[in-house]
Amino acid sequence: MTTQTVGLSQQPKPLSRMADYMVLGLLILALVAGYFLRQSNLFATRDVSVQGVTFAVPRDSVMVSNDPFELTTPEGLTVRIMRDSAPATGVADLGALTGSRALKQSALLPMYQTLEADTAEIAGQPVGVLDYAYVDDQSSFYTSGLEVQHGREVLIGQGDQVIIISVEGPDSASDQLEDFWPKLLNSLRFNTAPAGGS
Amino acid sequence: MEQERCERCGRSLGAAREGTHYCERCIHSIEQLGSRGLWMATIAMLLLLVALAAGMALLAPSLGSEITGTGRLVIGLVVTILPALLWLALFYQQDRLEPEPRGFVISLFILGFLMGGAVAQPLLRSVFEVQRWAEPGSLMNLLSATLLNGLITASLTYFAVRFTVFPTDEFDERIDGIVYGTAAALGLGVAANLAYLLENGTISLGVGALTIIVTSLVYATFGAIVGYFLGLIKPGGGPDWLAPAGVIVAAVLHGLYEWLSSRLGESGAGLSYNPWPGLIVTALFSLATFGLVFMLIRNAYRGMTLPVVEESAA
Repeated sequence: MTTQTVGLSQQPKPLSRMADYMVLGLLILALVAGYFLRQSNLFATRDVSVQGVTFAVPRDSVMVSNDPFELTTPEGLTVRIMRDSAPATGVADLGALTGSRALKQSALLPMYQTLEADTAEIAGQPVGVLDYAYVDDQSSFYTSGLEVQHGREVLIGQGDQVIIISVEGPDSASDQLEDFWPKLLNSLRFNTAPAGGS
Repeated sequence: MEQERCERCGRSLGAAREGTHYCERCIHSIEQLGSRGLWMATIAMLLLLVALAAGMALLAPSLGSEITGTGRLVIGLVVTILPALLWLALFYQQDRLEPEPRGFVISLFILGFLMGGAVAQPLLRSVFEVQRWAEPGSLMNLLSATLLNGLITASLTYFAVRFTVFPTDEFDERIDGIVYGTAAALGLGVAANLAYLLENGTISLGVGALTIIVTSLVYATFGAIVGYFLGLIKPGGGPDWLAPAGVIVAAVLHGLYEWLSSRLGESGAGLSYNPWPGLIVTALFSLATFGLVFMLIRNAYRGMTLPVVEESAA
């Protein structure tokens, strides 16, 4: 309300920009701190050791089963680790290894297709890498349409066996798969030296 | 020498000072006259809020899944706005000496709501995605609630008041800061409550009603704290650092509230969820902060009170 008296009561303290800058500075500090909190928490990982290999998964991943190992990431991707017998050609020929794996999977999964088969070197160890897709037969065509699953696998030769680490999810989660896959490969360590190297 | 006069009765209060002042007699008579009516009004408001919460808790199960998207929005708006308006009325009544223009108060409430809907909630939910990484009841929850929810809300309340009514002649008493701060923060609270309700769907209408009422009060009290510190600067003539100090105090209290409510709201045994312990404790916390605001208001009145000085003596 306006004052009726004269003098200082009609001249309140001049508005200070310093107070605004201090509050603005506080807000900016909080936003920056919040950004770092978000980044460090949202992308926080924990190590998982299974079948002689260790790798990082998102911290809030949920374990589905221990044998065979399966967990679900917060983004809805499924990580599995399996052990399979090596093909007759052995584990040294990575091309044959990936081909054999693709053939086996095509017999098990509807409309299985290999999108890309490649080799790579992880922690000094040559491995086979498969990029694949198939139709999820659990999805209902009548209610939601058929769902395509998109996944990637890394095949690690170990003596007469192959360790397979797969990450897959619905095709709609392809971006999350693209994000997660290189992180998983970079975090991969072998606890015992794989015997299938060249 | 310039004379300070009582804003209400015009009695001389001695040498002119910064800010608006009242004589002891006027303050005393207003406190005496208003106290009974004020208590009655306060009790009536609280009863209305309890009735609203009880009504929602009883109605929610029967409404069930019948509520459509539009219906849910309408009910959500009523459930979130009504308690906020009741709290606003309650705080507005405290400004008995020179009530602020209603238009200003309502405008700040709307501005707060718009800032909450356009800035605070998108920042918290879409940019920082706090709900994805701050596990309820964890230390991270306390940190994020203080740094993000608390500081964003308190800063927006500060800026809403600072760049609208603060430079005007209307902002001439310490209590004005409390009233305007409360109005802006209640608007921000409505946006937060609406986001909560829409996110949780109709299931939360029952349990959610009490949460919403408590949250409204909490926002109101934190806004009042920011406003009180603003009042200390302009009419009070306090130093500039009081502005960030008020924002920090409100943010810390906000963080504590969020952390406390989520920690106590965690599920008990198994998958069962019992919201009552959390709600009771947060309601007590809110009442404590409400009490704090009342104390600040009394303190603000005391700061404006001066003894009458005889004209001849002055």
